Amino acid sequence: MSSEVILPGDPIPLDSVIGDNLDDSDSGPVIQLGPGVLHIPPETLLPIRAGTLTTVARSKPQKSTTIYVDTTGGRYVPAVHDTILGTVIGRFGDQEKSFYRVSIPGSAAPIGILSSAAFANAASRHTRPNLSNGTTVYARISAFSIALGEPELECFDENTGKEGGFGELKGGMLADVSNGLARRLLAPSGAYGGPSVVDVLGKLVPFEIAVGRNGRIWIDSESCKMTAAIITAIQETEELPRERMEERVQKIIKGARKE
Amino acid sequence: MPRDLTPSTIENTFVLKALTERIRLDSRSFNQLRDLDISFSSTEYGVVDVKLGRTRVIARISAEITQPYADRPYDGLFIIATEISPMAAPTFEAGRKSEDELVISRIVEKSIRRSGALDTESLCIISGEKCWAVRADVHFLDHDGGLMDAACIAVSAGLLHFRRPDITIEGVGSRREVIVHPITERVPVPLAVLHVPVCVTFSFFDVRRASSAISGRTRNDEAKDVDDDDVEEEDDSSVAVLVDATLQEELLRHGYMSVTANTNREICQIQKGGDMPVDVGVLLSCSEAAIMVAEKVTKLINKRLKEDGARRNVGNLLVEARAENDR
Repeated sequence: MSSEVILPGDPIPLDSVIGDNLDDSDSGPVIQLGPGVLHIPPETLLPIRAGTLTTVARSKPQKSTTIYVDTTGGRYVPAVHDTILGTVIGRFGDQEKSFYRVSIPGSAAPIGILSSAAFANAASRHTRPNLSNGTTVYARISAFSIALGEPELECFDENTGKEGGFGELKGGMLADVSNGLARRLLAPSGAYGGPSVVDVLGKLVPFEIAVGRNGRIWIDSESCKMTAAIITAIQETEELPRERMEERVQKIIKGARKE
Repeated sequence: MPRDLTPSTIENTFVLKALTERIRLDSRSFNQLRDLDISFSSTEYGVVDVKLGRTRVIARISAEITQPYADRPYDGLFIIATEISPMAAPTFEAGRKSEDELVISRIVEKSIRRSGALDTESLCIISGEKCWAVRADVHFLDHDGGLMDAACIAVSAGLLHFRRPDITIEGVGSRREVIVHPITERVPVPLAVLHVPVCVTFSFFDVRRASSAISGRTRNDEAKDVDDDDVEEEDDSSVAVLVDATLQEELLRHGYMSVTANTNREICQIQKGGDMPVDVGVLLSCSEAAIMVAEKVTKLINKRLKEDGARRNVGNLLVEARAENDR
């Protein structure tokens, strides 16, 4: 994975995009275009927004290169499998089959539907959680289409069927981050080269974090002060280069410890 | 579909718990303003860009010649337009006034227009026939709390910065003519601004209610605790008073009070909202604090005005060419 800052209209040289990720077969190189790149046939690629031009080389299912312009802004558009942080704002249905209305801040589809049966251990009516209005849930989008309107949410790990960290969040604090940062925090460690702000923080102080793709994070730690400091550290260092980020994070955490 | 911003229980509990420990999320102290930045347009007069933390407001002052109201022939017109578009926050709907929006425009109106910050009589050109109509358009670009404070500062600074074209009246009686001199021809004239109102909003949090809600204890236990160790430094230990709340704090607060003051130590306007009673002592200390903030903000406005004036006044021409100079 490589990235460089690019502006709309800058030339994207095809050779550098493909690099050595060329298939041995006779067919030409396979390039997948992500958001922010316009294809003008036959072989002109044009960035149509400013950001970092990111190329990802893949070997499965076939050798290909994905290329897109990564930006931090924009409104979150729900997509299946995304994890989100939402707030319960209502409930409807009867005793047997009830649903929660969950507001998803920062989302293009602002309200999701969470079935009370979509929790781990929800087979019986008695083990289902009873969420009041204002409860924060960490959920996964299980179905969404623009035509559907409201995303459907689930609160269990789709692979194991267990709780897996999903469900009601207690204590801690919510904070807003940019969409891009939420995406970066959810990426596998080192995907963006080097440690992320969470990696740096993790070495300094124990804390819990949940990242919603809708640009919200939930943090819990030993004290109010520390939680506030961690949130500041994450929000403030988003646009700093790595060395300065580490420096700043250390300073913030140290400041919170001292007092 | 715009939605009301509904803070979750987690945020509510955390913010209140932090306040009992005297922590604000952005690590400010309770009576500290966010970073305030005021900048003027480099090309036009009366265009101000005010940034208060992440809140951003642009005000634009303009003037045109119209007929005064029949019942007030000696007064010019002064209108403040504060319409909040969804650009500030998705909660605001275009074309529909929400309650918050109404409160904001009302406070700005009371703070500036009704406090007589602009001498409307000086806008009269020919009584009953012609007068200046000064218009302040406030554009809310980003909403992170304190919209009225930012709007008030923007309009105040804009009025100070604005220059209207110079005019002369020729002829007598019914044959009088008003000649407007474009600003390329004559040095434009500042408005008669009598004082600079600055609005400061205080947010009240009922900390005692909050802490008992957190720990699940009764009010009596809590009261005993407070007696034992007087942690709070406020006069009333159960109230946390925050200056310049962020949007999050605004959504969670139990009550608020907007005080508009100026450097003459005058209170121009007080508006109290929310369902929380507040002691007289708090009210007085808030007014005092508002005056302090007003002094600080006015100082900054004057500093920026001076900088802008120096930048425009190339070769001292703006001073030398003024119409009121001796010839």
